[in-house]
Amino acid sequence: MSVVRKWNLTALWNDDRIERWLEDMARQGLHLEKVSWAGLFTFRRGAPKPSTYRIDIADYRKGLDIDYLQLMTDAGWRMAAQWSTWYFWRSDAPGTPEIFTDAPSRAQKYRRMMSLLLLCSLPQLPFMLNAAATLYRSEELPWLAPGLLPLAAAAVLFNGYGYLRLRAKLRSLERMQPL
Amino acid sequence: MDVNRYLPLSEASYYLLLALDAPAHGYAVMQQVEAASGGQVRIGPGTLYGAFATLEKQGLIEKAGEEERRKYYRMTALGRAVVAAQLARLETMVTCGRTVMAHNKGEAA
Repeated sequence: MSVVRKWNLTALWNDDRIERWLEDMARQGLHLEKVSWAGLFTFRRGAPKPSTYRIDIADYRKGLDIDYLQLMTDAGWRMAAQWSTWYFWRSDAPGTPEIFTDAPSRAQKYRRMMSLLLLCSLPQLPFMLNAAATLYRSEELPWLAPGLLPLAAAAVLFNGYGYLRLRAKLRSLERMQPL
Repeated sequence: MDVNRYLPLSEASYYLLLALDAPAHGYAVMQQVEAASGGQVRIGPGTLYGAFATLEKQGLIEKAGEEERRKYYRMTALGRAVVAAQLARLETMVTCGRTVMAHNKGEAA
């Protein structure tokens, strides 16, 4: 059994794009086995299969709940991989129900994603600014500061963009709810 | 006991509460809801997980034990009262709908 590693740097808020990519891999006989941080996916080579993949995220304060795991397993989902509070679910049975069957619960998933994004990005800001300020004042390394500031700005912009994308998703889900 | 603050129940919550007339675990609820609604309503495991938490917090359902790692829930007295109130609303809706639609059919002919 050979193992194949692939990079996919799709942002995690584009979860549906990653799901389609994983399904595409399965049709080529590459079955997800492990997800490492920064978008490194490990696959095991086998027979091509029309698998369905879905990504879900837990509340970062709770982590993996045993009741959730039991419900998912009973419904026909198998956890292919887990990375932090992200779960990569696979099903090979055609009648397996979607994880979320209404707009409010799907919206909750994107709210969990949003709070994780805020949690990860907000503390970065003062540290990066502080690091840049320190470098500016230092005797030996002031030339590093002009490089660090754009980097900090890029990180903040990237996270800010993710936040806006998630908010747009939430809005469109809220429009789907009955009056 | 003000049941109106829980109304109207979504179609899924309505069937979910009915499925918990007797203690049942999550997967049994999923199957019962699908069968009882003639396949029209399906509740996914993630949606059900959230619904259990919400309905338990609202006091409409309660835990009824655990067996083979599966948690069992059942409807509370409050849950039953809410379903009864929803049923009364649905009956009014059906009567009203039937009256208007029968009248319209007469006009079209």
